[in-house]
Amino acid sequence: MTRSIFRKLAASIWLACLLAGVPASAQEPQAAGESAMHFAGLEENADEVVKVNLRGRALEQAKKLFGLRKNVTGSVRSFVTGLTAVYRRTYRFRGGGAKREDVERVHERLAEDGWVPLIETENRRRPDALAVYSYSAEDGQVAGMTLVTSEPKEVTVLKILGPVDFEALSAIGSGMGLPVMRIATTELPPVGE
Amino acid sequence: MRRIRAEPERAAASPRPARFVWPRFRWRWALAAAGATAALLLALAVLPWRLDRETERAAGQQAERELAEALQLAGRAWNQAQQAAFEPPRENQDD
Repeated sequence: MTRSIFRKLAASIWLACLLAGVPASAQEPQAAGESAMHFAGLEENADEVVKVNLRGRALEQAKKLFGLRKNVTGSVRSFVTGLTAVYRRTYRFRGGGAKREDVERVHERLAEDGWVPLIETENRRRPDALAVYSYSAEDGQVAGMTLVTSEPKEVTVLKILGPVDFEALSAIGSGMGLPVMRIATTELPPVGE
Repeated sequence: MRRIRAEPERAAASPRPARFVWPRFRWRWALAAAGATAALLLALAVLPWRLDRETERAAGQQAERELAEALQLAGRAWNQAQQAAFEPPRENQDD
């Protein structure tokens, strides 16, 4: 009787120690992870889906090669070094474009996962919209950033996890921190061709 | 009679075996076979490793391109959002 109680006690202590040692990254809420980048409505209706998942070894290799680029500023280099994951989903449509409710569902999902909207813009002359979300860690530092751009024929959700340096990001966007490269975009041919 | 019959049977049942002689060992053939085997094993070990390295390098380059593309997309969108958020509202000036 005493031996079985002792065994149960030892097992429970061992289990408690094991759970206490779970790494912090595994305790991140739903904000992170590839599963949080699955948008069923958009994926079902899109004619072309581009998925990019950079994390773990692939991201480390990408960072290493990125560090070999010339004319990359120090702030951009350190920003890239701190990234933990980059996820991108681009949905392209031929016909009528993305449904409004599918795009709304993306925003709702981000709000459910704890993302806070920073900037939301909408161009009423053209049906374009852009939203920037951020995620803060416990110490108040920005631990991630999500962009949602919606155009008539394309919706892109880009999630960057890790400490975000907005100045470096701005420099990259201006072409200063990173040499501008020609991005090959696949354009869908007009309907009827 | 019994003895005479036994002698030919004994002779047929147990013939004297021929003297065994080891074949001549072909040293050159053995060396050539060992070398060919070693070369084949080395090729089988190195070739998959080289193919893996090439595949890994191509995957790394692709990942780096995707990372740069994502960062540029994020940077441009961030600048665009800032510009849209902080640009002063246009005032209609009727003269």
